[in-house]
Amino acid sequence: MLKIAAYHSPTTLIEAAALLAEDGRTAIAGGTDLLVNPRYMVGVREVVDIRRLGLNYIRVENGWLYIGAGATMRTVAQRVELQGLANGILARGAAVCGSPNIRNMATLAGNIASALPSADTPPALLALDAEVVLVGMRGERVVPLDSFFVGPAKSVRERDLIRELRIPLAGSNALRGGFYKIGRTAEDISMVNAAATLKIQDGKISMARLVLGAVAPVPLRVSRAEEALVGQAATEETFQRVAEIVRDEVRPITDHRATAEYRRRISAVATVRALRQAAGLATPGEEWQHA
Amino acid sequence: MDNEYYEPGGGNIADAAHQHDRQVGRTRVVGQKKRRVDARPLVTGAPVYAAEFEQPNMLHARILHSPHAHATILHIDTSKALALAGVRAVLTHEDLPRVAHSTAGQPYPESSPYDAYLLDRRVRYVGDWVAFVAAETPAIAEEALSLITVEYELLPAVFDPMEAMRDGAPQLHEPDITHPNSGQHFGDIYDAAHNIAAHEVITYGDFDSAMSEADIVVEGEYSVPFISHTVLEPHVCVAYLDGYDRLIVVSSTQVPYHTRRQLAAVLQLPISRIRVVKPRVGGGFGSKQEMLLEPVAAALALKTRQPVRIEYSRQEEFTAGRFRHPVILRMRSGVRRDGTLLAISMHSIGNAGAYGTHSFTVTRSTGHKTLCLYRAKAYLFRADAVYTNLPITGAMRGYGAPQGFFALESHIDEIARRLNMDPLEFRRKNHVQKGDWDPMEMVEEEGVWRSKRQFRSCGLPQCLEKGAAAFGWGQPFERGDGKPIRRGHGMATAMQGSGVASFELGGASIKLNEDGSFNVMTGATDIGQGSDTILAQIAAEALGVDMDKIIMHSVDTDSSVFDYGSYASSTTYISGGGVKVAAELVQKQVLDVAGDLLDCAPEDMSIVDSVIYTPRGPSHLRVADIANETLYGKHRQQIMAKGDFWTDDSPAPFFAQFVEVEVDTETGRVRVTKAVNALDLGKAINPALASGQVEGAVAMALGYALSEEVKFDDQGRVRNAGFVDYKVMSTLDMPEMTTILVEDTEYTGPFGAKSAGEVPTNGMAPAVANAIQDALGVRIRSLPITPEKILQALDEL
Amino acid sequence: MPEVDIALTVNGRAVKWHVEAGETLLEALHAHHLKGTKLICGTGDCCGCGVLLNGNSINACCMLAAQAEGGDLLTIEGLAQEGKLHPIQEAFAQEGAAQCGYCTPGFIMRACAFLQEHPHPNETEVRAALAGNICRCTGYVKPVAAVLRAAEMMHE
Repeated sequence: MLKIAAYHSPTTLIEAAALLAEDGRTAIAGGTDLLVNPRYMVGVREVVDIRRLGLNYIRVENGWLYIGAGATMRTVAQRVELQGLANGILARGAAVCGSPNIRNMATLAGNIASALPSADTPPALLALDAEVVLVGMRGERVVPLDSFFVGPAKSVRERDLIRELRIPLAGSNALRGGFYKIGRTAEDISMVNAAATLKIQDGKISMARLVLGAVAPVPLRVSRAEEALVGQAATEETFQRVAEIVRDEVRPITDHRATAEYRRRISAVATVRALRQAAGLATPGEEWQHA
Repeated sequence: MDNEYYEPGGGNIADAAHQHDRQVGRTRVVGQKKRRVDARPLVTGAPVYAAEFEQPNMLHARILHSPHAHATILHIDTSKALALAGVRAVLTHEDLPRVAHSTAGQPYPESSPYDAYLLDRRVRYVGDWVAFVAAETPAIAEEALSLITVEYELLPAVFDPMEAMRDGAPQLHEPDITHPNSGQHFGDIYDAAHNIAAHEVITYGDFDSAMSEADIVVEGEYSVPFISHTVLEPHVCVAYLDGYDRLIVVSSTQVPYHTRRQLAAVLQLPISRIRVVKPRVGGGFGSKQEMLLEPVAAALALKTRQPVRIEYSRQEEFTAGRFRHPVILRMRSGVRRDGTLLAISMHSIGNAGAYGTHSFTVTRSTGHKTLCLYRAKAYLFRADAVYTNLPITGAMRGYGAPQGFFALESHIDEIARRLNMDPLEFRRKNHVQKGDWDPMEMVEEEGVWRSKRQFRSCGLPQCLEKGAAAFGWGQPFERGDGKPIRRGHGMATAMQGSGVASFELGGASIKLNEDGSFNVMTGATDIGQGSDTILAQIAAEALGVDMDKIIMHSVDTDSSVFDYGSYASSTTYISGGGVKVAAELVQKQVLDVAGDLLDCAPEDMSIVDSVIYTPRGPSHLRVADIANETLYGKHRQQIMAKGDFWTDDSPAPFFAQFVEVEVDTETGRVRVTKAVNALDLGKAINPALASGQVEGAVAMALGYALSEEVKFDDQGRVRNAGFVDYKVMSTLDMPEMTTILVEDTEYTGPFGAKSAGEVPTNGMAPAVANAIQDALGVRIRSLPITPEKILQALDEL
Repeated sequence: MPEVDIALTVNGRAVKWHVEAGETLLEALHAHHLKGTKLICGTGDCCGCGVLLNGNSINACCMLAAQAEGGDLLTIEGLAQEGKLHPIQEAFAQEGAAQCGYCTPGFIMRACAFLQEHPHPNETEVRAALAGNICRCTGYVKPVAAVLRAAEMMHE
């Protein structure tokens, strides 16, 4: 039994934003993080259910893919629009979030709002240049996901509501992706995860994104590695070199899941494996896990 | 195939089967994959567990746990909690008698030191009990806990057993002499000043002399972690006073009778005033071989005179439940170059946690249950169980043997490798044989060594042969040399007991109803392993009726016969033995009446499928006719009998584990891809239940091998108190599994059965370590085998 | 505690429940004597409290009861019809897939949702579908076999 003084179930965004503008309130959708992790309930007395706002859409419009705040992980994992985008890296990230029951409840927006460094969807979203559309009393604002996360469980969201996430589709046909997760057991919170997107022209990498999870206070875009990829041939040698950069750039911690040293080491492995997938060089033997 | 016993003109098929039964001991119910007697309530979600038991005006209890690893309570203020609306009682150490006891669910006198108090002035681990609250709702009880203020004086704490044994280490317990066995082999805390809860030495033969013959001496130190049973139904019970002012306790327990006795002692009530009822239990694995929450609910029920329910949360299970002893094991053995094992030694140091429940027997078992797997000239085993300011370790499936076998079976693999011998061959050459006497049970009497225990059945050769064949042991396979993913094969063997020799009593009473059905009232506790089904099959078989004629009654200490409870792989062998005795006595009573009616000698008659048979064939009488005759006719009586079973013996089941692993040399992740489990259980009373026991035990052991470990911070607080970070195996982690049941008849057991439940937890961890050695050439001597340990070992190559 | 009135369908029956704002769906089920749905971890990590809400399998421990307003809820108690076991229940009983049985309702409800969407699964798919359901007794061999068996039975 949670100590909650009121449950609100608004039906319009304006109503929801107004409710959330008050102290001691938080938005709830799937509830799978919120209700089981006391850290999200500190100071919370009332909850605002956002599932009746009509936000459970995934749609393509004007060159953008929009994922509403109500869309569950399962929807994200199963929709063809997402399975076809950059080898389906976001769909695959969503498909390894928790268990099937959790994926039926948890939302993609909730995964972003929770802002945990080990989450499985932010790396793919960052690699796809996603943006977050926030709604508050002052109206709507669009924040690139790249500048959304501030620290563990901290973001620039404040009291705003995530209305949707959006991904630019321009040129996405040429986008190839990879995602690799390393957990302790088959179903686990990531010790390290990595997502990559590449555009390859005439054998050379023309664009690269490389993002790692659980190696820093926020999902880490490794710009130095991205720069090192561009202009290079998409080969094993290039990837190994980039992995060394990643090894230097990550700032992991030691916790009860893994030591910093181990995370640093496997961040290089996850990098290479994600890049190999993106370049179509992955060997099946590596693909034990969901990646 | 049965036609061979079919005599033309001599009867029908049933008659032929009957003849067959008599001639070759073929069974009709035993040995069949019968559906569980409790299948229906389990699959329909019927409220059959203690967790679902309700009483009117039931209060809800919560426990205040210590936030400190070691402290003295200077003062407790409960006034604010008591003032909260809905709070009915708060109990602290000031309100309860201080009775030294052990919470171990063991026969009297318990082979565990008396070092526990229901509540004490001193707390000895983070999670130790400080106060109990009963309130009208769980939420109020929870809030009341936050209103209790406790002033502690912190004491220095110790978490490492090696440090705890040093002079000057913080001492956890004062010596106590209230144990009935005080001054004897066990009973007292062995060395309170050095935190040694219990100590044991077992030797046989002249160790030094045997070692001096050795060509090669192999040594190694192994360690196994602190792990949780993770029973899915947490500890839970309801206590209330009935209209006669008796205390009724409905509890999820493995040991109803031990709990009744211990409750009486701790609460200072006569045993006659207590009744313990065990409904369906949602898993035990040893964690419920313990009096745990029963006295809490009972004390609060006595105080408030209202029913009180208490259930541990998952968090509490992971912080203040019971756990498997972590152990450091040192092995040293000598072999001849030809592969003859000469001498074997083990020294184990177990971490008892804050209290010594089961510590003597578990640490003793690390060697006592394991070293007897091999023949040698000499054995040396030494064990210490050491107190530390960590949560309490106790009984867990395998009971010391999984710890011991990880060391022993890794060590044996290392020896075989040193000799360049196939580890399977080495085992074949050295393992125990049928007819051998247990070297761990040797006693010297007037210069002659005698053993209490002989291995009358031993299906280990068949386990090895059939297991190796099914696995393809020794066959070439794709090893992945030069690739990031490597493969290796490994194996291990194991044994266990069937009950604790000399320390068991089990059985049942059986009563006939008018329709020819029987009530089987057993004291054995079905905790999910299926003993009610197994015992029903044994009863049906011995009575000569089908399963649908058997009504099983779960334990109620007011009506069931006394039984030591479900632990130590005892239910089929011990309680099943008692059930068979009872059923045979009842059948004799039925046949006595039938014989009188049919004018036939009872010893020439039998019952098959509820039909009374004479030497001429089936009669017109069925069991129901005899029931009616005895209840309403001329032979008036209640047909009923009880059967007991106890023995100085403990027949050993044997087990062979074969595995294939894949190791990712870049991440260090290990996956077991294939497992073959071969078990000699004497006789599978129900092959489906038996294979279920094996599969579950192997899965549990796989978690022990690869992922399970309760982790602590430097203050002794659990860091991973939940399924998110305490990783048990999921469907996706499980290998392709083949289970082989070998039946080497144990003639002292019911229908030839010995045990199945624990022995399969012993093989997986060492088999995985051995397979990793095969794959990578590195030896991991500590569990769990995490990816980090693999990479470290590869770095050191 | 502030309360909320909700209307929903539970096992085919329309009900109006008076729940507290902070009450989980699992707590509400237990308060209404539907105890077949088990509390095992309480943190959404074992799927032992699995129920079907609008046909989707979810964990009742990490959802507020108030959020179930208007929903169509199916629990383990609602599967058997007039005392006749549902094929999944029958398969679990036949295969010996329930040992202590505490995880069984969660497995059966998860299988129920899964088989509706995948009537002809293979073993790999069944394993993936049950990946979040923790069982400590069976090693998953017989539960997986039971779901495969149930799939067959549902086509017979």
